[in-house]
Amino acid sequence: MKVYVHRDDKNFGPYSVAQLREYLKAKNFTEDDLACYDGANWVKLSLVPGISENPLPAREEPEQKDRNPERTPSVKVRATLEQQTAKPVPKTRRKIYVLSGVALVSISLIGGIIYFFTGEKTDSSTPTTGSNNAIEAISLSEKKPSGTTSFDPRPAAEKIDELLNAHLKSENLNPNPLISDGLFLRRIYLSIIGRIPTILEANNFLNSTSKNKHSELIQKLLSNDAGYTAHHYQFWADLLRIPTNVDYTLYYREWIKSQIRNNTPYDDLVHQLVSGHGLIFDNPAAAYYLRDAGMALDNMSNSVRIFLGTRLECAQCHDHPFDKWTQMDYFKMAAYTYDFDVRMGVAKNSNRQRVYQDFGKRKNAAYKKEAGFEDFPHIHDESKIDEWLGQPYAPGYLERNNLTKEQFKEAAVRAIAARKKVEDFDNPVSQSVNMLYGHISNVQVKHHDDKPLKLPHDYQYDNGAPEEIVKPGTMFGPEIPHLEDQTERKNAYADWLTSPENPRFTRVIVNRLWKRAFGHGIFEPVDNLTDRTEINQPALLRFLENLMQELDYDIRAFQNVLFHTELFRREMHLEDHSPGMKFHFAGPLLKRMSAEQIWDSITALILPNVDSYAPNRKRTQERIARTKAIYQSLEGRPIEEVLPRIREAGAQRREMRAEQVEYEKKISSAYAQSNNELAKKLTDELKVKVRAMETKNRELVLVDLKDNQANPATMMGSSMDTTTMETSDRISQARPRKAPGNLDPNERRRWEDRERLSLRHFRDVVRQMARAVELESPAKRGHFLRDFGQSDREVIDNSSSNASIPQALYLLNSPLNLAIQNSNAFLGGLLAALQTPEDKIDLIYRSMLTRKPNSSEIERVLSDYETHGEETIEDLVWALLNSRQFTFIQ
Amino acid sequence: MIKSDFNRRRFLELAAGSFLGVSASNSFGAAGGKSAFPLPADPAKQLIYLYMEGGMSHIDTFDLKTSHKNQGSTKPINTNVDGIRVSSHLPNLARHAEKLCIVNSLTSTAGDHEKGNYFMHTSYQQRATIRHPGIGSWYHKLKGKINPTLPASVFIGRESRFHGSGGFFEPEFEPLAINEPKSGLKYAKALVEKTRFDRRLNLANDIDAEFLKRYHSKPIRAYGHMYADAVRLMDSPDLAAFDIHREDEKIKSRYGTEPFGQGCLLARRLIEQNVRSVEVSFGGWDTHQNNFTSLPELCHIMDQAVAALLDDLKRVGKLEDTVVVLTTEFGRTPQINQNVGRDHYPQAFTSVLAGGGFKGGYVHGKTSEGAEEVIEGSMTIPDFNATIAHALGIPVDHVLYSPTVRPFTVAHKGKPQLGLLS
Repeated sequence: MKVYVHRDDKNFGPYSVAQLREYLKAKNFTEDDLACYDGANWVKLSLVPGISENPLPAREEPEQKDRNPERTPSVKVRATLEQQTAKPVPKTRRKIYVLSGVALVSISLIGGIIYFFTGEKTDSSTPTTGSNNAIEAISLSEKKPSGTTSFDPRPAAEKIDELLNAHLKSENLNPNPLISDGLFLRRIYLSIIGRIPTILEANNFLNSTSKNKHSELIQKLLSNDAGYTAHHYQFWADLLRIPTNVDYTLYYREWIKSQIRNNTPYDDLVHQLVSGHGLIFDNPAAAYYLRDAGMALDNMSNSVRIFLGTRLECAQCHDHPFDKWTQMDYFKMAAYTYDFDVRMGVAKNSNRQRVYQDFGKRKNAAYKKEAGFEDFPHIHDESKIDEWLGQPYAPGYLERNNLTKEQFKEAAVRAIAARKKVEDFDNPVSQSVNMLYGHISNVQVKHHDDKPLKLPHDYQYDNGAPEEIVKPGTMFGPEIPHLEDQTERKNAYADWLTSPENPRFTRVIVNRLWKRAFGHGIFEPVDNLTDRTEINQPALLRFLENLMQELDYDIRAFQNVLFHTELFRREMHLEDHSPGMKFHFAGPLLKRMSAEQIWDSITALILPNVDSYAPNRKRTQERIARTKAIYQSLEGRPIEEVLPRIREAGAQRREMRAEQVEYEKKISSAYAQSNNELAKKLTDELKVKVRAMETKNRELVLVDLKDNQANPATMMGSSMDTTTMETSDRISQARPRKAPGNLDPNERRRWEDRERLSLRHFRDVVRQMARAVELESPAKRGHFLRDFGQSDREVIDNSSSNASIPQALYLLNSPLNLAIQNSNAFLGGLLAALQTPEDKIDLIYRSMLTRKPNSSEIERVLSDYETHGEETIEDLVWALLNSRQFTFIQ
Repeated sequence: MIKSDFNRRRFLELAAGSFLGVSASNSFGAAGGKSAFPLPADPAKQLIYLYMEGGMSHIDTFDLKTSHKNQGSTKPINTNVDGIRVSSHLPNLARHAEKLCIVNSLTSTAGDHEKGNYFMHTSYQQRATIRHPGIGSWYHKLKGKINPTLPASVFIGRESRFHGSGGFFEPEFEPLAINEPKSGLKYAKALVEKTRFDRRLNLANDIDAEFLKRYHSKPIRAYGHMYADAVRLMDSPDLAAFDIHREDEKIKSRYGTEPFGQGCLLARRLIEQNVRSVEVSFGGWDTHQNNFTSLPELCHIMDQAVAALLDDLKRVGKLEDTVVVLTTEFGRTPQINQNVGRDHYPQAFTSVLAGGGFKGGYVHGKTSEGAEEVIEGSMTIPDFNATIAHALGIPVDHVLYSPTVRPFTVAHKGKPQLGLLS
């Protein structure tokens, strides 16, 4: 049990009870000092269980918070928190963000007002409350971030507003009024870290009297690496179509996340992506090309769409019907990347090829041996014997070797049969190779030795001939001089793409980020630039492009500017807006939260410290290490080691086949006798045996795996971090609340039934719950995220925020609202500590909608409460979950 | 190739139209206006699409070659149609041969699962830049719903990336996905009793009222409509269609207890309630190894379920107006491989059609002695899909545009094979 002590306007701790007893003895503390051991109440130190040598009760009951109402001080104490040594602060690579401040949270309990004192961890994690956890009252002093030293976003933001207002004036429009702090708060949290603020975070901001609190909040959120990454990752996942179901994609995902966390400049990131080569273990950026394996032409269409905002696909088959690009333009661009080879194990010196070469050696040796002549000609099959004999050099050969035609034929037939025998013998080995290499089919990108791009066979234009080789060339901007060396050429292409001189590179990212912040691009669509694209505010666009370049493509700094504009704080544009209509930015454009934002917001209502809760991280690391270990076993070890093992695996498979033939006979005869049961039994038996054989195969060859996991030596940092462990513990220790003492047996039983049911729903919901960035993506069909429009990661930007019936049914009838209200959940725990309906209504509104309820809302809820009691509180949570106020960003 | 009568201005019109949300579906039929394939006077009204995922072996199911060594240990049985034989593992379907239109001459070049699956579902080659809609979504888009409360297209099957999807059509054309037929439509029932549900719905509407007065743009209104639809669906007797446990036990047991069978039962129930199209997927046909030991079980499940389905559709009077398709991405190598299995074989394979105006007791096309080559009645996948579309009354030359104004048709360049229709 952790206990905090409050004395002389300062907080101390946490301490264990034993330590406190020492301090009491040493008179560092007195019995009248205030202590908090249950995360909710400050009581006299003397009342802390165990302080007076009595054994601690095994579990603290939540309703004990109601004890000693007369003891709870109705004292408003401002804490000036000072440095605590509690937990080590997770350091990020470039910045160390450390915050202080007075954080006040108000929660009303019976008999008085108690203020919680809480500080904030660097990742804005919220203090946990609940039956067993104490509040982390960590506070730290503020330090300037080492990276973005003195960049002040405000001048640029002001300039943007200036340009916007000038435009509005020219259109005879007025800018929308500014929104309240409450709306700003919700909006900025969603925009930067992709979820609504917790009530503690909200209070922190709303109660702050700092003059610069809006700016400070923006900076704070931008430096919340975990939260920012969780949200910004989705931007990239949608653009790059990053799934997680194939092993190489895990490398990709984790690498992108780390780039975001480290705030890699945009041009740098893109450069790495489009020049990604080599093994993904060494260079995860190579996954960019693995994603479109086998579709090199489409990959170029995608690159041009994502980074240059231009749709080139149509020009793959003919001159673009309504843009200026010709088919030749398309092919010249595609020629830059066409020779990228993503196949595994085709290089002549790869182990896999060496295994095949060995097959060839063996069968040819058998052929020659059986033929009896070292120089016996290679004949493919029996049908070719006569053909060979008809060749001009045949008689000479026969004479030299003293053979008649018949003898030759005989020898040939024997030799061919011998060769086939070896081939068949080696077939199981080949099968085992296929099975084993299947685990690492997408791990490498390299240059093809000889694969020039040719014009299609039906090329119809004058400027080239069908099947003519295409020389790479850029579609606009500066020309790249011709380079023979493939690597140099690839890098030159990447340079061209990401150059500030490239007329579309900067423009496109600036517009995408603008749309992400304000709901509508400066030009639309964001990825279909043509010469006819209307840009209503060219000066604004130019300014933003210059800004991005001045900031060296620092995405966070750029967004920092956008969030500091007045535009961001204006009321939403409320009228209908159709695509194609002009948008003047009197205010941002209203939209629904993305699927991930909704899910993450609900998660934040249920789990504490959501930004750093990563329950799947260990498994991800394991899978990543596993892939690498498999590669190591197959290609990383010398062929002298690998070949014998593979052959041995083939031998196991060969043995299995013999058994299989026996089984097949028995099974067929069982079916023939209509003994389906026996047939099925034998079939299942056979399946088990085959699987066992393949397991043995793997164990034999994949020596770098142990128990299907990489050796510890090859794993890096796979232990679970403390936050995740704490939250996992909290979940696994979830318990139903005990019924209050004043219930009759029937009521008690009903209470317990309800609690058990609620706990079951809680467990079902949280079992697979974490922020979307930590979950499988795309989620399975039928999962909340897919129902609400998460991209299937098959097509660029494929997410949607359209309404659908499954969405409505989900919110209407799923147990989500029950999980939120369970006493083990974050919001549910806070609710359980409150007594009056007014307090509960207040808490619910402020947690879910980030605002206080107004009087008519309170009245309306209370009117139901009068008749139906606590059920109404449940209904209120349900109602707000289903409200458009929850899912739409105001 | 650009059609000669396209011109740039027309494209711009269409581009503008799609930007403004105007559907271009009315504006562009075949060049010249009249379709090359006049539609049936009374086309089928619904579709059941049964997909055997993995590549169903043709020589071991419907295209037997008993006297050839390629046959292996699969035995034939007679059906209730003279001259048609099927595998002994399909005894139930053998009794329904008079309903079946067996196409033994499908041919394709797409030999891997992803590409083959995609090609069969869309008639287009898989690309990394766009997703093409499946027939069910085309059907919904061009012909709309019959039952306004229920979704127009439903997919029943376990998680897989490939099935008839809504492709580049608007999100409302995406089929509703049901992963487990025995669980029906997820979250379709309230967790609280009716009076309380109504009460909380009331509460929700009341506390949202002010917000909705202020914010009434299209996306918000759309959500309102969707909620109303969802609540209506919850109350609707049609919802019962999703619950296979309401089915008479005798009938239910005819379908078997496997998910595929239950999926077929669910499909029938949905068809009865006038859902336009239902796809049911059944995986596991990729018998590279143990072909002869795996197929009996697979065939048994499929045989039982599909026979029950055909029986039932007949019983409820829906068979004539419902096209039933049984298909797969490719066949399997007639030559048995080293693992006593068969590998991918797109050169020649089989699919089966029934109901919806298709000839019954009919075999189209022929393969060689060893089932290795199509020697008669060769049909490409686009042709196959065009025939299905045609039977459903979908014009195969009706062009719809993707959001980037690329033109597409329901079966790409496929031509309906009218000889399959009676």
